[in-house]
Amino acid sequence: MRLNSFIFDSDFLQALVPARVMDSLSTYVYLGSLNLDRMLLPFLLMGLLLLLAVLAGRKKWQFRSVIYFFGGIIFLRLMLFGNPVAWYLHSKLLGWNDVGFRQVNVIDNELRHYFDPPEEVRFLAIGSSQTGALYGDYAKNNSDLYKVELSGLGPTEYYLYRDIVGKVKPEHVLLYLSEFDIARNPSYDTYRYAPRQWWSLASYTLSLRNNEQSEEMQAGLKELWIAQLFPEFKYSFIFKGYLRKWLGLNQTFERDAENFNTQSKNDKTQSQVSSLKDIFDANAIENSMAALNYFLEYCKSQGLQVAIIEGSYHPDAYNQKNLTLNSLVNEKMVQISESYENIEFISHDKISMLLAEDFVDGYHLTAVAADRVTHEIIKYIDGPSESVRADDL
Amino acid sequence: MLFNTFEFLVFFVFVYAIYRIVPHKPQNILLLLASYFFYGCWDWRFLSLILLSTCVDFYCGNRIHSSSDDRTRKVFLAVSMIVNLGVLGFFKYFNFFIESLDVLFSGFGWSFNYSLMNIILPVGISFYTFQTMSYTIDIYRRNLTPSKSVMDFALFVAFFPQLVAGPIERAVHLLPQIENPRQISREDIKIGCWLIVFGYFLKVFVADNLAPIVDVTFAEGSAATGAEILSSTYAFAFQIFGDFAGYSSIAIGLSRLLGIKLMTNFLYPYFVTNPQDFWKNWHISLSSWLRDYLYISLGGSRKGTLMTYRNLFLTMFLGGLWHGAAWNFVIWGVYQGSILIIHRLCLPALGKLDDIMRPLPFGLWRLVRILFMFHVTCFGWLLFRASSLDQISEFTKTLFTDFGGLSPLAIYNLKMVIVYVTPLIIIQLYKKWNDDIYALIKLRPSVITGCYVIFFFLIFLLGEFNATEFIYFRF
Repeated sequence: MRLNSFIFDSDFLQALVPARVMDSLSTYVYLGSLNLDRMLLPFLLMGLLLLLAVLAGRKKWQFRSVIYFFGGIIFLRLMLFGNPVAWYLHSKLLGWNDVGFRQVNVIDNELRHYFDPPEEVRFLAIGSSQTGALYGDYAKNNSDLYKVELSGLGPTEYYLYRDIVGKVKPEHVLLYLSEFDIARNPSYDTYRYAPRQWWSLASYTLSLRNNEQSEEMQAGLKELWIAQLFPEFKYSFIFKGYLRKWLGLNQTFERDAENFNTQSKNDKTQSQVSSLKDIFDANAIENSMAALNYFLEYCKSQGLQVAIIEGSYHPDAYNQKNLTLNSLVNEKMVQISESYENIEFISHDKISMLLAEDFVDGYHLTAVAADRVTHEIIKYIDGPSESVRADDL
Repeated sequence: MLFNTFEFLVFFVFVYAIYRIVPHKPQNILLLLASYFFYGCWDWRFLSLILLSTCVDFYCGNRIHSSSDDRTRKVFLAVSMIVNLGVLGFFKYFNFFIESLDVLFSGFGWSFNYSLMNIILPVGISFYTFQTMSYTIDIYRRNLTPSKSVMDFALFVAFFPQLVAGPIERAVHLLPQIENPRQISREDIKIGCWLIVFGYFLKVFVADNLAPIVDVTFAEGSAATGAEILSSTYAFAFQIFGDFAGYSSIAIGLSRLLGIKLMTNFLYPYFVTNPQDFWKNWHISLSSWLRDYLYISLGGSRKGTLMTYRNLFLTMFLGGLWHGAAWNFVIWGVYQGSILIIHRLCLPALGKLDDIMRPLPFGLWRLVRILFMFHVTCFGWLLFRASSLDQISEFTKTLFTDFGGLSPLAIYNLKMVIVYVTPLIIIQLYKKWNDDIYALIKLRPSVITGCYVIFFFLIFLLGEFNATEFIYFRF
């Protein structure tokens, strides 16, 4: 629900808003001043029920108390995380060393909610920081590609972020996937940061639970449900971040940040490569694929084309185990692309080979390599269709 | 199922919705089934222990009451005690005693082959065992007539809000409320809601935010400096208060919503000036239980000064052991017994000192005494929280002989304590100032609503929801 809107000059916004937020917002149309819909309705419903109960008891003071209580909470919600100024401040004042990688992305995306995406987006790239590294530079300079980057975002979470797909309505959704995402146990503690899900959350939860019963997943889903009703719970990291920052308490993240910043490029790469050799798990594939299917079904229902590009990581990390998993995942991707008309799988062999020097660390591409690969991907998608290519062969 | 989980919220709302629309007898059946379900969610096998305790004490209570023969009455009291303490002893202390015996024997150069059993400690066993024992003892003392309904008695034993961590209720107080129809007044709902929210604030905002500080310092092999130990002990003092008083507050609040009044378990333990007052403010249901059923049974203060000291010491020693099967709890009990005795010994001197210092302005002398007593209590918490006897001796040595300066970690700890404890201190001061634990709910409705909004945001914005169970579940 946009209560009103203002027209801003793009240069003004560029100067005002942190660059990382504006990255792929090539045209800025207007800024919604208040955003109520994502947090208000269920809460109002609760308040209404309580009011009805109080009215049934005909207690005037109780009626006033309920109004004050819910009114007070809604007012504070709007002040703290229901308006662009608040999100602008959170985005400006908090860094990843205060709140964490994913959390910073969440703040940035919340602020971006108040901006309209470019009018005609051809490509929407959604994924983790790998996706961010791959399309970042291209998205900055080209309005046909819109990038949504959330640190650690994996296939089990794509469906939770479908509102962005629905809002942008691109021609193609670009997913950058390999065993790096599919054969890795998801981190369920980030589920709570997902946007409002409405009724489909129940069926999504059930479908996830059918594939996995781990305690971590149960806890993650539970947090997601609670966060849907209580945005205070969802955004508590922001206020804990302020507390840490202002009292000089940000020891945990500061220590990580210090390690992260002081490690040499080579050391960082080596440690990530060695962890990549051991991190993947074939047992995670079924769960990831089931969740991915859920998202792909959604794209199909929206009439969107999906391009699944085979993701890459540092060549030194491809040991026998990873190669086996790679072919297993590729097999699954081919099966998917064959079973959905709107899905195309672009494997490694259709784009140029990536070498060690193309990576800035264990799994993020350098700007030069990313730009090259992005152009190749777009060229491939814009090229002749799969059937024409098959006929050529 | 923990109070601080979403599952419990759903469970309680469901139970409460039915509870409000059914008459008294079905209400009791519902509460009993809900209580067994609540306990069974943790481990259904241990429901058998609750059932055993219920059956034995119900039967023994009836036999004690119906018999006029003193010997028979004593026999059935003994049966009740042996069964309850036997179960408690086996599940809680068996391995501890075997290990301790081995250490003792090896000191004399003897050794005996033993194997420890893999015994799981049933949640809340110390609480409901003491509660049911009070029933038979009170009947034996002719302070209570036995319950006529086994179902009502079963509910008294298993009443879910206070089943796993108290308050340890007395049959004299709780049973009549179960047996007679209950009226839920507007006041009950008002107080109940307030206590629940305040309890969550204590647990989620205060206790669980302080827990990581304490865990780091008291981890095994920790080489903390004096300032780090001191700041972490401060943190633990408020963590354990927030955790346990929080649980009690939620339990009392939930019961109040059900129309049942439980006893107050915590007042202002850190605003007291002597150990005797501390025990009148801390875990009141346990300290009064120990006083009524142990200290007085031992003779109390009726048999002269020396016997009084002995009784005090024994009571606190056993009180320490009640908390857990570990030597640090025993030492903590001994420490509590000792400071109670020392305080009694020093009373005349303290009285004189009081007379001299009282004229100091702004209640300064009182503040000094409160701070002194707080530190005495904190040293007890160090004994209580330490992960081993070695850690106790190492930390004590560091604190008193090698304190050192303020490290960055100590400053961090202190800042955390200040941030998370200040709202609690303000609330406690207000209640203490008005000498009324319900002082805040007697404010104007608009102020109360404002307090609820503030609590709501403190809990959800700054609360810690990843913590696991309540500390006293282990006891």
